[in-house]
Amino acid sequence: MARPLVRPDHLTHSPSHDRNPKGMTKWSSQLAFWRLRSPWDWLPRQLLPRINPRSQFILTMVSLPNGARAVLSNLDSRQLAVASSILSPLTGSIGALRRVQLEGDTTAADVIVGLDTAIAGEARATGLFADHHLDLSGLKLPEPWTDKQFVPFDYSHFAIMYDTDTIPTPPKSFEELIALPANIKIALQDPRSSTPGLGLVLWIKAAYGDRAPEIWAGLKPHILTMTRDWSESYDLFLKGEADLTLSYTTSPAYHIIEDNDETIKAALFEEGHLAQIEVAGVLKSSEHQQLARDFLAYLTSVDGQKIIPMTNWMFPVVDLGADMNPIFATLPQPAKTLTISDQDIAKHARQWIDEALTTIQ
Amino acid sequence: MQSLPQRRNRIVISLTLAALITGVIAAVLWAILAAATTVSDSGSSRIDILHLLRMTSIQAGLTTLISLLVGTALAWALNRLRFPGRNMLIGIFSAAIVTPGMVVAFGMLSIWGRSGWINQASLAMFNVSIGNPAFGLSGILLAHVILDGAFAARILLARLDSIPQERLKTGQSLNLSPWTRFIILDWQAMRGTLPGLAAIIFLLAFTSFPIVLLLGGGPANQTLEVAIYAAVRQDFDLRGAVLLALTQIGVCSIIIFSAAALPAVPSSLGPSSTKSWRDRAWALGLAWIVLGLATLGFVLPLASVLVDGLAAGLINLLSTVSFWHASATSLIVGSISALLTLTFTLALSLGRSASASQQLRIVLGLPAYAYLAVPAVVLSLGGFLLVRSMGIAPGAAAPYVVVFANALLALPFAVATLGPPLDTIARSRGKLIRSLGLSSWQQFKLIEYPLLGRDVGVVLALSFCFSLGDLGVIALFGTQDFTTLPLLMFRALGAYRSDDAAAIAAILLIGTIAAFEALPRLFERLAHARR
Repeated sequence: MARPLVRPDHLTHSPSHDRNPKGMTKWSSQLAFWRLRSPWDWLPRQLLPRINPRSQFILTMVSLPNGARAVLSNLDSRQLAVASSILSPLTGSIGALRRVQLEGDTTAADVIVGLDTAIAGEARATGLFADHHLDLSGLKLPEPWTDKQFVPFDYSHFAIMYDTDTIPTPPKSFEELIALPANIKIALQDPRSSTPGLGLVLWIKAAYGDRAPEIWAGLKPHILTMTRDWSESYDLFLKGEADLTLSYTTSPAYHIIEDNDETIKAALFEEGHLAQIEVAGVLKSSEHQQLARDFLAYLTSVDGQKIIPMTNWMFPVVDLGADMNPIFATLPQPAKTLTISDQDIAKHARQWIDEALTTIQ
Repeated sequence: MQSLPQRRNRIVISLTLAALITGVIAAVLWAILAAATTVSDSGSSRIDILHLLRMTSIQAGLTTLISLLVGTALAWALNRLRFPGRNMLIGIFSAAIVTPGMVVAFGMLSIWGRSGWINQASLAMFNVSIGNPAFGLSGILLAHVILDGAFAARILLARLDSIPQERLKTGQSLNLSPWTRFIILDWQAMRGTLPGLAAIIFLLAFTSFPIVLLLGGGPANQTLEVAIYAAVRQDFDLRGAVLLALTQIGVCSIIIFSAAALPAVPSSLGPSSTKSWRDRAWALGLAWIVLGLATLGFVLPLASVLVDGLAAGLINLLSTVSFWHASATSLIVGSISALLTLTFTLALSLGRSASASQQLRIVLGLPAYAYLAVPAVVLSLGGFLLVRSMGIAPGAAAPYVVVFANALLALPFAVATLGPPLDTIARSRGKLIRSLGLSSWQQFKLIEYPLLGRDVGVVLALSFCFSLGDLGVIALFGTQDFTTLPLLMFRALGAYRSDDAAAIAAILLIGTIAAFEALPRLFERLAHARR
């Protein structure tokens, strides 16, 4: 089941800019670092073409997928971006946080995009993030947004993806999932590096409490691999190396809209689903606080949010009205939403991750 | 010993260099230890060192055992058979030592994955699925044996080919059966090499990074190297990483010191000798089967990388700035670290061959092995902590650290290549050099370099290829502005662009084999042209 995959694209002002990139990306899972200006120069940089002669800075856009490119090129036209290279974290969005922790004040990053509410507490505790000072009262979220450091930019429910061609009757709960024959394989994400990976640990905990290790033990024979990042496991799923993978209830929208393919579906579980709200934050060490805040303001504005559904394949955090693709409204959504309090996550997440990893080791 | 030319300068230079390398390693270790005591503990460390040690040892032990078995069988088959293209095939197997682990890991999926060639063929012919052996322990072992089995075969073949003709003639006249010949002649020739070879393969498997990272299947199968990387990059558990690094250094040092007592494995090899043995038909048949299977096992994953890479994503890849940027970086880093390795190797080996004192020779021999004890990810972690504690942005120091670490990466193999012949020259031609009153430079230019042209090329090729395929060092240090091809490939894999990854893998493979085959020839020719 070979599908076209995403090509790296660059913010160039060349005709290649208009090629329509095929393939699903969830760019927030790939790109978590935004650097607004390069503080140091090094030889190979000189080999790079100066892409935007109007800018006083060299744009070092490297492997920029469509979603982020769309947001940034729009920013450019608004003369806002003297921006920007994107520092790929390599190990998922939590990996980006680790990297900033590791680099401390010497980090080149200004903004981290793609953390979620589950890891936000730990991120806040590092003391590396500055207040955003934005008025976010206009956002459309289940609860009013009160976080002073992090800005939400999209959300969806976690879900197990399957292909109706290989799994005609999908599991309706984790218990049905682990009862599947052992040759049914699932590609998961590492909870230490990827927010969906952490999300699954929390989801199972929220649904099963003390029985969570049982579910993990049941999952063990089905786990093909645990990848660093969402993209890698989703790729294995689409290539047919795995039958199932962890993604979102909104993921089928991509396959319907881009590929006219209705066989990729999200399994709805009776015990309910955990939702993920993805967030972005400005680092205190950044020399470009105002620029960084402008970027976050744009990310949560209607203009910025219009780009989210069809590039990051998640729900926007503002009401887009007629600008929202109607396919999203047709996607089945879980009847029940599970929640875990931020306090519980802050207190127990590490222990729950250990519990899950030890069980499958 | 009296015949050695007086070369005080050489000894001084190599001693300085040895001190420098030791100093850098010590600084790196100090940075790690300092971090271990100062970095605040971010909660309970979830690292189970005993579990990791057990799993890594099982994996490395199995890799060693299977690789030696496969290597012996393949060496035996290659030794017995003569056919057109034999030298080319041996050349391909020789390239195993420099083939980037990432490339093999990538090819593994195309061949051994569920939608890979073998499972598809098995489904089509027998309607039986082989499952997905590309992931987990089976995947790691398969990928390691592909590389290390071929490496072992190349080394063992050299031993078999060096069996003196007179012995073979005597054996033939005694009408030895294939099995008796193997026991009496072949085994005797190979036996001495096996322990040292086993130690090297065990170390390579024990410190394996990209293969385990890509095929390990997550936390269930890790090496210490991957666990260090995960501790730093996923948990921000520096204390845990430091503990792992110290364990790694401990285990590797034990293996190196016990292996040091064993004979060295030569890594530069001349052409095979001619055949003078008539075998039984069944033995020849068996040899062909072994050779066929081994060739398929080794060549198929690499061929699949070429097929996938050149078919799908190449055009797209070539139109991206990041690819050209990464290629330029890889070439520059590879070339500089190759030259640096050569400089280190020459300085150390020339000094070593000029010194008569046994203690001095041991001291000058040690820096070469520093790297095996302090492997890529540990060195990288130490370098990272070191520059961070000095207040330098890791990104700014990255190029220097990566070049230096890559230069050390190839040093053990480079010293094993150039050291012995330089020793031989100093000993066998010392009197001539002294009587001619040659200066140190004349000695190098007129005597040593012309004789060693090919080996100089081998050293450059080894180092260039190691650097070209390195992921362990760059993985911690790479930034968007400082990206090599393996890192770009790793990123493409993680960013859902496997077409790009396939194309990069193909280019890495072609680049590695081309450099490995071409550089020794080029330098052999250059050395002869000079005279």
